[in-house]
Amino acid sequence: MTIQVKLFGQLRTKTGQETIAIESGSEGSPKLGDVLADIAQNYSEAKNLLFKPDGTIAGGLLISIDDEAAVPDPDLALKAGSTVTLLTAISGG
Amino acid sequence: MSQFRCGEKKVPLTDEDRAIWDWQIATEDLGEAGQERLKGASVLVSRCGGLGSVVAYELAAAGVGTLVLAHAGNLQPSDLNRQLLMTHDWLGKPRIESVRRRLLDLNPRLNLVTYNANLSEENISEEKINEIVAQADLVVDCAPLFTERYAMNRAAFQQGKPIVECAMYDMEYQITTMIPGETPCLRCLYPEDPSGWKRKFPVFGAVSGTVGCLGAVEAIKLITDIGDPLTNRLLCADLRRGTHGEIAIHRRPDCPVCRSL
Repeated sequence: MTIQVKLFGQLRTKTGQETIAIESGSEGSPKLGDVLADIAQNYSEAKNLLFKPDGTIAGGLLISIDDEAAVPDPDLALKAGSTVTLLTAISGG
Repeated sequence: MSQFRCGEKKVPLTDEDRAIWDWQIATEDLGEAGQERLKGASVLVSRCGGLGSVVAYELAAAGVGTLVLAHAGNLQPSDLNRQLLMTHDWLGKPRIESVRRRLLDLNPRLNLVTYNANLSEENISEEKINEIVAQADLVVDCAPLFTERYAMNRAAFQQGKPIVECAMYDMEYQITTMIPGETPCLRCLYPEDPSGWKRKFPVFGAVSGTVGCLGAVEAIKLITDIGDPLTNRLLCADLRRGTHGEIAIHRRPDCPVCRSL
């Protein structure tokens, strides 16, 4: 099962990617926390935009699933075909 | 449809006003009554950089009666790629004076209240920020630092005033209109500032100007009750790809700023 992840803001700069496709195992639905951890593992410079030092999801990150803002719950189960959008807070003016 | 109204005060138009805003008054759902609301309105724009300069300029052009503007510091060469109310001959002088001069060149009827200050609680007191926000019917937030954005968010929500949140980074922008009691606030959206946000960010004036125009349109819509404000949705655009989309956004029941509203 593939989860498409769209990246915006500094996450795009730090990863050099606009979208990332994450393959999950065949057992059960992938969890939001697993998707974020996968990105953090592959793009270490993006880790502090995704997670706080204590391992919880960063407060400056807006997560949407299929264009609806989601509660930042790492245990949130994702459905097949879902698109996760990750926006870092921006304040350029 | 929002129940919020912030353009209740109307100021009668003069013949000169009618001549200037003739083409705008032709907008079917504005009319002379809408123009009178714009003339009676007061909008706080903080700051007047790449984004806020365009917001202020468009609101001055549209005939908003009073602008309350905050922007600190002296003009630097690196401001000139985007801060369109600045001019080369003003280098080294206070930015806010250039803002005043350029806006009054366009619209000498404009009432201006200006502050050579940035509205963060690190710079000025919470009381002073409240006092500045109290002078406006609504706020357009164009600040480049989250300390300022959070300070204005708190003050606007405490006073029941709408705040248009517009921001950009690189070739992207985000914009939403927040109304106390009806929509999320900035702390609902982003409870904490992002790690590593720096004062210097990549910016083209054309990108900050694009979202600045959208911010001005949102303010005009709120004042005149035209159309539907961008409430409970975040408009996001990637101008590098020429794409945009909307995300439905929600209030957080545990938000320290707006949970009791």
